[in-house]
Amino acid sequence: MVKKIYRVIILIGLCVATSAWSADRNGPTWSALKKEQQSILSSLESEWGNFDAQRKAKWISIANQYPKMAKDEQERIQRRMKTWASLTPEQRQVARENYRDLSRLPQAERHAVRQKWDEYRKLPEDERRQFAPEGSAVRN
Amino acid sequence: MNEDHVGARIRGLLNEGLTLDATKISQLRAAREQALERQRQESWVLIPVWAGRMFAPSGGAARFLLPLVFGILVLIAFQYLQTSQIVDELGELDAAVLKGDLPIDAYLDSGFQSWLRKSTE
Repeated sequence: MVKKIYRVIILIGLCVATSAWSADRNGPTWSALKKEQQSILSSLESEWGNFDAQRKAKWISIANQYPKMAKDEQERIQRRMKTWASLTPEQRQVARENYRDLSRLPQAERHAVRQKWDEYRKLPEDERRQFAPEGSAVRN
Repeated sequence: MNEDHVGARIRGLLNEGLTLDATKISQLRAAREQALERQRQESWVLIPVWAGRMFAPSGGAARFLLPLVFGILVLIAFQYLQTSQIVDELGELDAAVLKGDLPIDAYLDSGFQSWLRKSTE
């Protein structure tokens, strides 16, 4: 009798733990987000259901930082959010690594990078291709 | 006289047949009912006793169950903290990429990266 009760308790515990774990695994649904978070991340609403828990948590973290950002930074985030979400995990990783590399440059050089990008964009495509390793991406 | 001896003696007397008066029969019946009632109560008491043993500082189950539960809780807490730390770092990094001066394309263009390296050398 006692053993039976013991088994039932363990079974109930396992069910509760499994359902909690599975809810946590999928992350919060769109409707579970705060109104403010929904408004910031509105361009991701249609894709939200396809994101895993970690990706959702990352976007929520960005939404939480958003109110403290300057107006122009907020605008850039809004403009780039959808593009960023549409990249493959590998592309996002490449972008993060290049960002890290560039952020290690001395401050004076770092400020000049934006100008350099404009300069590079003005080069003819053939010339730009010369700098790209074979088979790698050149953005148009 | 040991227990086996007493048992054998009682069995022998019972086999021979007892002639008891009504008072003794009613006393025996009352004692039996009392014993049965106590047994019923004990079976219900077993559950809290079992639960108590599980969480008591001493006892068979507690010896392995408490460290096991504690170990699982520590593991869950560690994993949760590690995951939230990774997510926070990733969130900060992605936010920095997205809000920065440079467009996303610049970070993805391998030609620009090598052109930049060459031009700053």
